[in-house]
Amino acid sequence: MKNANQPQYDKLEKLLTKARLPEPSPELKERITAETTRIWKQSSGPYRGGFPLSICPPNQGLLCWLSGLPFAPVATACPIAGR
Amino acid sequence: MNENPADNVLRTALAGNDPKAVDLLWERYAKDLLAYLQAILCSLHDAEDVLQMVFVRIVRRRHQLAKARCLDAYIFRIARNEALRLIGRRKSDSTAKNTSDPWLIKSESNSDLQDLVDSLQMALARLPQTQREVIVMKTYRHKTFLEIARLLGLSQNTVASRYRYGMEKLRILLENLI
Repeated sequence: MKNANQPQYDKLEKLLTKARLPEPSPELKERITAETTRIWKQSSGPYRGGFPLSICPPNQGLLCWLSGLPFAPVATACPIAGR
Repeated sequence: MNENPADNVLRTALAGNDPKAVDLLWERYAKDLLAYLQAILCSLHDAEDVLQMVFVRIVRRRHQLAKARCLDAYIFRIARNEALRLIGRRKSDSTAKNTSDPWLIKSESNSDLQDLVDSLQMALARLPQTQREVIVMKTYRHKTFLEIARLLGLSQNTVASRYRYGMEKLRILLENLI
């Protein structure tokens, strides 16, 4: 039923198809592909997905990781700013 | 949900940072996205501008896109968000234009049809946006309910009922033309 034709709307659909939507013009394609290709090339660099570890100093990153382990001692808890 | 075989080609180009992906994206999505944006915005001019923003956003998020569970739904969600953002900006900007520009054209070169096309455009514009989206994608892009459901991330039942409600309203609005 979901994809079946709905004959009660045949006339209305036929009426609607007296009009159509304009398709993307070649000029639009040129404009958009040129702009997006430019942005693509500008932003092409090695992608490092996930959490940006580089913002953590190495020791602090290691501490954070250790404090997440179930056997981690309390002393290795992640330092909190201002304490 | 089954993956479109073309998805792998596109994912590989996106993940491999290959700019050829821009052409692949254009070939695969430009017509449907422009139709969808016109359905939301009721304006060809605005739809073209938003289409550019959508492509820019896709390119900026290409690495996430390569890993998206469903490429179609991800891209159409970006398009929807960009279109709604424009509508939001228009609402908050009192100097923004209020008049809508033509977004439907005659399917035949018959000048008598222009009044009819204007009436269809006005009637479609009076539908709720969600119903108009489905009717436009089905009528003018010849999509099935299943395809529309996949593109918009909805269930087929939701798509079918939006279509039915929209068509019932159109039937009333266009009563004198049927």
